[in-house]
Amino acid sequence: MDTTLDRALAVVAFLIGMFVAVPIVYAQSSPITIELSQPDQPMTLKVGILSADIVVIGEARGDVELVVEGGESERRIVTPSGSKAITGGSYRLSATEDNNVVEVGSDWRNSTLQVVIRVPEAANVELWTTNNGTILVRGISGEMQLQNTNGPVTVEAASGPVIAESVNDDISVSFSDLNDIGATSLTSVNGSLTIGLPESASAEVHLDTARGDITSDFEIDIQPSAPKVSRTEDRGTIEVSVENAIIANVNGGGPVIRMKTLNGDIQINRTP
Amino acid sequence: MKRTISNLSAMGLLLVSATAQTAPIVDEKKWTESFEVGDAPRLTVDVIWGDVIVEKGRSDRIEMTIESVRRADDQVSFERSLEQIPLNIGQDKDDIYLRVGRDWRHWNTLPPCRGCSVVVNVVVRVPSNTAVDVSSVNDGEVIVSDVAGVVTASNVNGGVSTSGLARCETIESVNGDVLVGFVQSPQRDCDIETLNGDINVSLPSGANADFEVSLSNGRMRSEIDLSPKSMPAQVEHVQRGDRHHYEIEKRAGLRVGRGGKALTLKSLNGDVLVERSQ
Repeated sequence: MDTTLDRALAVVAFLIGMFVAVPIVYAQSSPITIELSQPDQPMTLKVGILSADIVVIGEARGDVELVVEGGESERRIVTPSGSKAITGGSYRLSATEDNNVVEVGSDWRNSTLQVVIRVPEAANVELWTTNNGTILVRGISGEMQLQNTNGPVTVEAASGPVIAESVNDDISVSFSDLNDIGATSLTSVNGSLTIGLPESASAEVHLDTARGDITSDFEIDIQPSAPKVSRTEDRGTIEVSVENAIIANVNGGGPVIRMKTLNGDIQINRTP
Repeated sequence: MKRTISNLSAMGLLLVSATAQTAPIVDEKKWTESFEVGDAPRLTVDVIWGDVIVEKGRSDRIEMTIESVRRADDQVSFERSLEQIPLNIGQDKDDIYLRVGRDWRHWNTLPPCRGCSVVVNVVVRVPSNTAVDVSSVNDGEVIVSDVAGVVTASNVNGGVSTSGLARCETIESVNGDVLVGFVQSPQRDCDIETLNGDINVSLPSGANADFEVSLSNGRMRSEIDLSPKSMPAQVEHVQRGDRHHYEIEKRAGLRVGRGGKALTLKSLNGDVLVERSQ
């Protein structure tokens, strides 16, 4: 199809010196499978979607499977018989695999997408969404960096380190194994933080909530600590911050788990 | 048969006004062309500046009325414009064409011709069954009416208006409005797109069609009752070396009557109106 837009795209491609391969177009009647360049090597999944429910599931597999649903919007069409919702959903999404890094993104703003991605369980996972979305990660042993501005972050059956942030909602992380993993950090402003640990797990927890309660299923060994004051001078201003975290050991101490919130509770649960 | 009108003008067959060395060189002319065609005529018109109008005419001929204005800042630029922006009109069996300019790859290798332009306003009368592929870029409208063959029409900084269509492939603009009028139910799938303009589609009473709608910032209104239709997502997979890229798009579906050929409606910043043909 030789159209003006196609020609313009061809010009752009030429100018940046890129070779444009012939695209393969098909209807999505089943999940989209993205092959990895090196299926037996570690991979990284990066997902950034403005408004999405993002689910990432770790499995014994050597590729990535992507399912996209939703896109239901509040868009309406005015017809002779009245205003009708345009149902069936619509969205745009892109995914790229390059040297075992899979990036999924969309600037779609009209509605919330539901994205389910199945990856090798050792994958490193970086996810962010901003509005009307949720993040759920299950069964991952790689490193997880999870950011949701206005929605919750939930991690289940984790056996890798988690860096999770939510400004206005809760964060819940449940570990299946804490052995030999790096530091974990859960940070929120207006949400509660919950962490689940196996009965025998050992950890050093740093707990800091300004206006919430702290509860624990474990006996914890609180370490003596003093408020930590940091002073930063930059461009003529001085910023002084005081961090007054409770540092405690669970089962004698282990990997550091830092939990900090301003207006939420902190809870340490025992997982089955 | 192929004619390069720019060369003819260079030979002095046309009026060239050059009153002073610094004055712009302007070459204006108007003429007609007529081509006998067979049972499967095709028309291609690609201009850079100007209007393209295609109408139903005689069943055995394609007739063009052409007004062209070639302009350059000086004689050197004028000569350069003849090389870089020729006007070619010709016939290859049933294929009739009018093209302004060379292939962009060729342009890229030539020195710039600043201030040069060749405005071509063309009215073409074609047999009804002609396959039409027409385009303009600047300072013009693209208008196609009462053509039953497959129509492709595009513009960049102007509108596209079609009426009396039975089948189209792509009707699109970048910064202009797009009007598509069918005289019957669409007989093939068609993409109707604009980035910064409105889309207006008219269908006759009793028509059947399906719409696949992708709007970003616009509203949609219909004078015809539409019902929702479930659409599968489309996946475009491109491989460049070891890099695999997937574009996944799902559009909202709407059905007119019993449904039929798919009309894809895409606009970034414009509204969509679906109405009954007059």
